[in-house]
Amino acid sequence: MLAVVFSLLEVLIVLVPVLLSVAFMTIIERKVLASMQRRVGPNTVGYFGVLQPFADALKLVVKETVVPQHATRSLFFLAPVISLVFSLLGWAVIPFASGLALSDFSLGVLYSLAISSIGVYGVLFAGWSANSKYAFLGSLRSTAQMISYELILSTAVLAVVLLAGTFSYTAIIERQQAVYYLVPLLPLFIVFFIAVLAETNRTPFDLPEAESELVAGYFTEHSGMIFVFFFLAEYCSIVLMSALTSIFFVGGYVMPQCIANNTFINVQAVVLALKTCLFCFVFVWFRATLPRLRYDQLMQFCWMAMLPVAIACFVLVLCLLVAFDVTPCFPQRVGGLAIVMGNTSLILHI
Amino acid sequence: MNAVLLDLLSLAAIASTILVITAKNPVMSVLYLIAVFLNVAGYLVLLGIAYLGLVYLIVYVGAIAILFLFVIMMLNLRLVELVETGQQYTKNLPMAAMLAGMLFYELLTMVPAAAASMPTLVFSWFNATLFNAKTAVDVDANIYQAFSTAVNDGQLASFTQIASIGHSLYTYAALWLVVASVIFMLAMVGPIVLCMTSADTSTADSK
Repeated sequence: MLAVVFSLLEVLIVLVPVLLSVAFMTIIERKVLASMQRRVGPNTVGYFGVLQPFADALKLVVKETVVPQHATRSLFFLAPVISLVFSLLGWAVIPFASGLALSDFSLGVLYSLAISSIGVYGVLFAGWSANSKYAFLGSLRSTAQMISYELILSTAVLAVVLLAGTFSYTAIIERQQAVYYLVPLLPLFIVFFIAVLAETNRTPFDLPEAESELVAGYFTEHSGMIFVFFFLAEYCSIVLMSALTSIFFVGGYVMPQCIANNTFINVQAVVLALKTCLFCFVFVWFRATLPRLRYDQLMQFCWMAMLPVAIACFVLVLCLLVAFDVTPCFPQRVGGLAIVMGNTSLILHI
Repeated sequence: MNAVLLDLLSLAAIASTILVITAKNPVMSVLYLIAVFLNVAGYLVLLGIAYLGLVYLIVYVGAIAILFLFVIMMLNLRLVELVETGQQYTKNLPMAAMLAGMLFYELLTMVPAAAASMPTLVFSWFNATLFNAKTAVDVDANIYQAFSTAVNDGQLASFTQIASIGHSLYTYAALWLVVASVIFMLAMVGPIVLCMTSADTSTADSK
């Protein structure tokens, strides 16, 4: 019994900071966007507007929830819950420092891929159950985009898995002590990040909610509390994807040895947080910089350009592993392999 | 505790399978199908075969069911018409039962129960030429290893999950892997070729 209480507490200890970080992600987005557009941004609630997201949340919670008359009510309420729950479930396997994960699952990467693919159902059901043409078309647009870019995302992730020779997050991070995978797999990192942008419906792929020219996408009919769920899910997946990017390509909690210390502060977790923040910032930076793609361009880009590149990179990694006879089952050789890979990708760039 | 959970999951899977057939609305039907997949995946994970469970989720829930749902949602079906045609089909239920019975009878009589008595005509030739299985004993051993559940269970116990599946796939069942891949390849290329024809006619017109 006590064990159950403890594991529930562990889950709470991860979830509450995650939800807080999601709240702060929204204020980061608004402040950074404001600075880049030479505005002030929210500045009245709390110091420098830091408490703005809580005021917003309170406003949304007390708003009335309007349900369309012909909606399929069960799915209408289930859809936002699916979105939020499955974007939060992704945090279960993230190691925040060595040994600090809710579950150090040996198939963690596969788990993440499975969870992210189930999350699409939230979008699909939201559009269909509202029984409104705007929401329905929005959800079809969004789903087509998400399942297309998921292919690219998983191809890039599988290349990392091949190089590391494991599906476990902790092992992938530990293998990057010699060199971050960003160095040998730079082309794949770019491909991965583009896929992440599309997967989280961010600029330049934010057609699902192109507020300036199309009616807001799949959540057109959702309001009040259930809209908050979608909102939270979206920003939660942004933070999660930033964390995953930093784990796969920038070494997660691994840092140069000169920073490491053994005091009571867990520097590893701070390092992971800093790397994640960096990618969160890049998300906003992209939004402020790039214009939106047209829908046919988006799909064309995915299937005609990104997918061949991703698969080519994947095959290249595979071929190099075989050609230099450095299967990652022998961890002591991986450092040498990474250097070889780095040189090859350098040559390719030149 | 686990045994109870396993029972619950399998019961839920059966219940949702029945609901797939009885649901009037096709979208709800696919929803119950997804429930079946989720239950089965949970069952596999609880049994300790987490890899297969997760792959089940990724392939069936993450790809196939989404495509089903996508197409069915776009079809713009009218529920009343569907129910009418459904009633027409339910008249033929005895016929369906007879056909299914015949099919099962044929399957059960034709397919041998033991792996050792599998027909080996084409496979033994391929095995001999491709994988250097010199003697007939080697060939039979490969087939036995690929289809015997006892051997594969032993693999699962001695390796980690992915390693054990990979080991039996690439060691003993390499031939069947190749055959399956060729079939998948055909299934993928076929529709592409079928869709290409319209592009060809347009170029012919422009000439």
